Amino acid sequence: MDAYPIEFITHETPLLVLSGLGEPEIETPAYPLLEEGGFKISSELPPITSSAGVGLLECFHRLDASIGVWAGRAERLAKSPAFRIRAVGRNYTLPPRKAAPPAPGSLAPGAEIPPTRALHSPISPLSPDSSLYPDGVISNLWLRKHQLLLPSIFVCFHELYTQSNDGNIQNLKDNELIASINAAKKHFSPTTGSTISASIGGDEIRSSGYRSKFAVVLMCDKSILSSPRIDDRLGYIKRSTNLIANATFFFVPANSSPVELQQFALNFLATLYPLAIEYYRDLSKHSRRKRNKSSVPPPTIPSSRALSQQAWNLRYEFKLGIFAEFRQEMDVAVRNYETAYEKLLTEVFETTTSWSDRWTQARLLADITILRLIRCHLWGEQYTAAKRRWSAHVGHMTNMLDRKGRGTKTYGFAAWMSRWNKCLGELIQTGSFPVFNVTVPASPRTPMLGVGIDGIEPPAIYAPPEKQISVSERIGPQDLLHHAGFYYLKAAEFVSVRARRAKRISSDDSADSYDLYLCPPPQEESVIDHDSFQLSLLSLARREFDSRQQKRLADSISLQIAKLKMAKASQDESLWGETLKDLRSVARIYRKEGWWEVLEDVLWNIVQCGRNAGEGGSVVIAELELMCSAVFKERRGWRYDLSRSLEGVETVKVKPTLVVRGGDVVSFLTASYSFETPNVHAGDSTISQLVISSDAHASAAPIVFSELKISYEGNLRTILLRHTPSSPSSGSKINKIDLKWKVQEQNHSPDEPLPSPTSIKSFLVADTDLSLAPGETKIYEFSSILREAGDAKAICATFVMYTEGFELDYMVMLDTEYDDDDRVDAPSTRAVHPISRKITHTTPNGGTGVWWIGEEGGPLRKKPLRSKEPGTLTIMPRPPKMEVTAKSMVEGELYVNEIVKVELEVENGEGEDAIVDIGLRILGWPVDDDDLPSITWISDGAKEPATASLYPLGKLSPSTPPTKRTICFQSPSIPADCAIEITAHYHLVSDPDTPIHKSVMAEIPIVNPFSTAFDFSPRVHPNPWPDHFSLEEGTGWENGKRVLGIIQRWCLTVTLHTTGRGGAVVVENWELPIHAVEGGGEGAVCRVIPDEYPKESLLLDQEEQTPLPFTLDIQKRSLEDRSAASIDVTLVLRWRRDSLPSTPLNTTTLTVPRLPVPPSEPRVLAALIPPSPTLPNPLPPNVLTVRYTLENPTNYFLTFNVLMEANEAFAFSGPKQILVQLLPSSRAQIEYRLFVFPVIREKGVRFDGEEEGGRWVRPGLRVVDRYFNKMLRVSPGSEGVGVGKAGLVVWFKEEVGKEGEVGDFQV
Amino acid sequence: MSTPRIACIALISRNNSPLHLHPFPSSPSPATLKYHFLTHATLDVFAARLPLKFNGDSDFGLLYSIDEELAAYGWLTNTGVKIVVIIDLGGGGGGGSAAGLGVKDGELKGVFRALQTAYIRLVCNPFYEEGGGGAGGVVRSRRFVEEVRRIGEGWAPGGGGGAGAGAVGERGVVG
Repeated sequence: MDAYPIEFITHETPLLVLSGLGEPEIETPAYPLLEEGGFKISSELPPITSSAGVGLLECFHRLDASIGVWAGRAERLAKSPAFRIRAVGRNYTLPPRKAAPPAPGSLAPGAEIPPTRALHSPISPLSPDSSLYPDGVISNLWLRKHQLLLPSIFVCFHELYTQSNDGNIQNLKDNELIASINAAKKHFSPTTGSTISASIGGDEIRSSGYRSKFAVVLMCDKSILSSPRIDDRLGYIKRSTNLIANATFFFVPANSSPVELQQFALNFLATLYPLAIEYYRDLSKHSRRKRNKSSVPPPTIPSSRALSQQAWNLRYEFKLGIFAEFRQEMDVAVRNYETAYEKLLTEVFETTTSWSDRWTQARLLADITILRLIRCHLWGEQYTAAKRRWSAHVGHMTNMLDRKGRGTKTYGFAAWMSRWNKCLGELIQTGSFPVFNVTVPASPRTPMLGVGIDGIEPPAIYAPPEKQISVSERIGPQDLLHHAGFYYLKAAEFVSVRARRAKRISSDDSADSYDLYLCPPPQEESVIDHDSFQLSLLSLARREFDSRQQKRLADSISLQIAKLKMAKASQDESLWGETLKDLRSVARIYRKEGWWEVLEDVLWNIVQCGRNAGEGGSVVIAELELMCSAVFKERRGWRYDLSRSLEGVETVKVKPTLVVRGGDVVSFLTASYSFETPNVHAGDSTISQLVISSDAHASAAPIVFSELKISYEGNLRTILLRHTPSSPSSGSKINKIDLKWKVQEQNHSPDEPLPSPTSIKSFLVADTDLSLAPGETKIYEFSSILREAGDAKAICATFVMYTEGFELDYMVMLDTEYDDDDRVDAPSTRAVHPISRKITHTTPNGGTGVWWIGEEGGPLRKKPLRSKEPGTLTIMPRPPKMEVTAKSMVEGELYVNEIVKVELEVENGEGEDAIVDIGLRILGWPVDDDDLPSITWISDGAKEPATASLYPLGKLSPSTPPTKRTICFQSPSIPADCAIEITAHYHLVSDPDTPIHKSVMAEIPIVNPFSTAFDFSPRVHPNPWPDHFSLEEGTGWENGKRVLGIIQRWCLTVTLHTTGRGGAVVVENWELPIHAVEGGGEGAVCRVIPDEYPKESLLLDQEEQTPLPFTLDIQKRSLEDRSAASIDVTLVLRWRRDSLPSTPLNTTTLTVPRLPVPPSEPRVLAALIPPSPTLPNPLPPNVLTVRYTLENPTNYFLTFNVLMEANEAFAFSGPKQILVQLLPSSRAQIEYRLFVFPVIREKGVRFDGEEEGGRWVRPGLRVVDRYFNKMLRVSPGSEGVGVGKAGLVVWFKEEVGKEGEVGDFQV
Repeated sequence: MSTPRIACIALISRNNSPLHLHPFPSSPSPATLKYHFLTHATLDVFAARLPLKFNGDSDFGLLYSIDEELAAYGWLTNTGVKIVVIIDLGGGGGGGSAAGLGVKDGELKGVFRALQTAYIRLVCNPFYEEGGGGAGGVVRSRRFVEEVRRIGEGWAPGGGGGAGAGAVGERGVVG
């Protein structure tokens, strides 16, 4: 907008002039006849310089709204009332109303001088001295008058005299003040215009005739308290000056705080604002009256050319519009401007001579009118209307220029279009409308994709159409007002159009054929620096786009800027480097998003800039990228040879050393690394392939690398390939180079410093051909021996080029990071958009690795690799080849309490000698781990206790017989499922650093071999009971003390057999230790009666149950003690396995249930009496002798009825029914002989009670205590007598082979 | 003053790389690079408006009008492929009174649907490798290119010329 006079585009606000505040203005606005003919308002009184005055002035400065009030309604309300405030010191000059009468000399001779000269304003087209004379419409001076010179309100600030309290002096000072105020006020007295003209030239102070409002502010240094008369004085001054308190007369009390001053200023302006509006309304009325008069006022000097009636009306409409703007009545202004514009188009352009100065002025006025119109629309937030107005003007102008001959193909029109776009941009920007506000502080580096901080609307690109526009009306995209950046961008584009057109200007063109509206004539135009214009516009645009997160558009503008700078760089060498930097940052987004065509453009520019700026590195990298034929077009005539890219570039002074990561640039080179198999054991060798291929343009020279370094992660050593030229290859596009077993180990020489502290000291080196022709694929095959377990991965292939011009380290990553592209929301982090290349194989897991099969120089074919990441190798630990076997010495299960022997065999299956140690661990031991058995090693008969550490087995050679060792330990006393873990720890003699382990697990289930059943039954003690006469002597002694109780005999029969599946057990020895005898009273004594005929040993096997009887005598200490008792015993067996006769005996202790001894009561015991050998005649075999013993351990005489029941199984001899009387502590015996009837057997039928080898018979003896009438139970008292379901049973052993025989029997 | 016409059709992948860019008339000219820039710049608007889009609303409407002549309209498929159609409003050299001949809201829906259908047909082809078979992932399918050309040349404002576009557009959008 700066092309237009500033007054035309200034935003209108009422002018407020403050006299008596501030410094006199150094520069007053230029205005014709201002000094000569202006109305001077002066006063002797000094301006206020007190601190309150300064403070108040600051408040007014803050409230000044000279630049206009914008930014939406809300902010406007906050800023209202808006004034343009000028503080002018004390004296002020109002602009003159009339021009000076024309000097007689200036008149053309012969011109008729009218009798009465109507004088007009010095800026009116009627005044001969005016620039508008005779037919101009309006000039910026008129606007300047209202904007800066002619106030709507003139305010005088004065200080009340308070330095002395002397009434007289005060009166004197007050009167001076009144005189001064009245003098100033007189200028603004509302006298009629006729009296003014009459008083011209008079000495007295004459009124200016302006209708500006007048107000006075008095300030005071002292408060009313110290100066009590102030109120009276103020009243007096007010009356004398005829002012109204708080309407035109204000008083600022002393000692007002800044807040109070601010409040005063606000109130003051709010009070005056209606006056100001009224002032401008008056002016509007005046103009409207003149317009309605519809007559052209007479000029001061008549002229042949004069402004037409329509032009006068245009002038009035324009003025009305301006005044409406002063009043902030924008809708009114819109109407006036519309009319004015209409008149301009229809009248002025048509009637004025085309391309004349006046015509150009009219164009200017048209522009201004439209600009103001747009501004009014924007003010009302009618963005679409504003944009349409703007576009329509373009249409009208184009139309008119085409009609008027010079057309729109001129540089002038391009200049105008550029300016017109820029104006719109500036209007939008200065307005700072809410719709285009950037809410988020713009940071250009916010994530590109994840824009949109939740809940915050993105910055608007264009304003939505107004609601009041009807739906039926078509709103095209061009009707929508976009943000300023677009218009700046367009303006820049038109500058370039203008520049192109200016270039076509030939030196002999005359200015007449050009549209020179607001632009220089052709000869000047052709040398103008258009690029600078364009640059500044582009920068403006870029800032706008940047702040609205339009990063990509901003980048494309940056590219345009860069290109312009390149064009200018021929003059300014430093621009090359600057541009290069811009280009490099711009290239980033295109590279990332894969806009190769655009990137290509950028890269060629980089090459050019780099060459000129002497930045060889950028040149090399850009050329490297441009070689990629997959995405870039081949430039004809360009020499694609990377190694010579800096040849002949003299600007490059320092040889650049470059390190380029493959992921950061578009790469014509691809490299992949594959291992043949993904899993390998340490110690084995593996084969791997590095495949490199070039995708360079076909015309490019083969690229020759000096070195190629392959680095790995994990346990593989770096491989360095060095270039040695070889004979030209066969011309095949795929070549394999076999480097198996050809790499040699090399260490960094000690004097050569390591490239970095972390670099590996030793690496593998080979010399080979490292050249790569366009389109060629080379496969380098390596082999390596893997020493240690772990993971290994090929990380990076570094291609190194040493040329005369530069050194390049080009690192291509080999570990294929898996595509994160599948995730839509996550922004990709890669710097380069992936270049798609043909993939031939894809395995189901997504792997794309291939393996090239074939000999060097021979035909090659490829096969897909299964691995997803073929560049990764898992090295598994060396597999142990030591054979360890463990075998128990006995068959079957192991038994508790025995010595376990396990035989170990260790055989070395490795290829070489190994040092072996054996570690043992017993698992599942039933008791605490602390009680683990001590293990003894037996080696060739020598015993050796195991130590905590490993048992050294020493060096074992392969192919020798297995080394045998035996370990033995005591098995636990509780059955358990144990296992023994035997681990061979060893290392090879050749590789002592690699420990190897081999474990075997031997199961050793340990069981209890003994299965026991217990029977505890009473017996008849053979000894006589103590008689009453020798009772005191007792029946035994214990610890020197007589034991008096009756001895009872019991028999514990243990039935043993083995359950273990480890073979028969021979029990050599046994014992029944008595642990405790529990009894009431004085206790009891118990003894084990040794067997008369002890058995030698017992052979226990799984089939047969072996009874083992123990006879126990129990005696109470006291005869009277008849309470129950119990005996705790255990059974100790000393045994050995039947299969191992010579081993020492093992001892196993078996628990025996507590043996109960019932209380001493009368009882009946039945015993089978073996036939006495002394008998003269042996009894027949079917005769049993049963002796019943009735015992009375009590102190009572007891009488029993004894009755032997008849039984069909036998006949018996003995008392059928007798009465037995028993003395206290005595017993009686009754003997029966049972003659058992033989039974006729039928096959398969068993009789009741029949078992193998005999049968049970049931003699039914009933013993009833007569006194208590209680039946006594008959208990078994010997072997062969038991208790069945129905009572006592007696075993009858039938003799086999004698069945059916009926022997003699006695009754 | 001519009627609006399609000046360029562009398909942009989910990763913001160009899939296909077809200027009209299709003869290669310096303007093609300009369309590249313009299309690329629309991605800013897509990115900015994306968080405000709900319920699979594909139509991004007017992205911006570059000047009196060109206006870019956008469409986003639910697989993230962006379709940009640049309309030449036929304003000519700054003729501002092109208003009234502009493009109505939604008038391009048929075009977008047709393009999307064409793209779906392309992707559904089992022999089509996304991002494969060509430089920089650009679609090389002759049938697809031909279809885009037909849609672009056949369109005219007011729905009259979009016969082909309308027909395929009704088939529903699944991509």
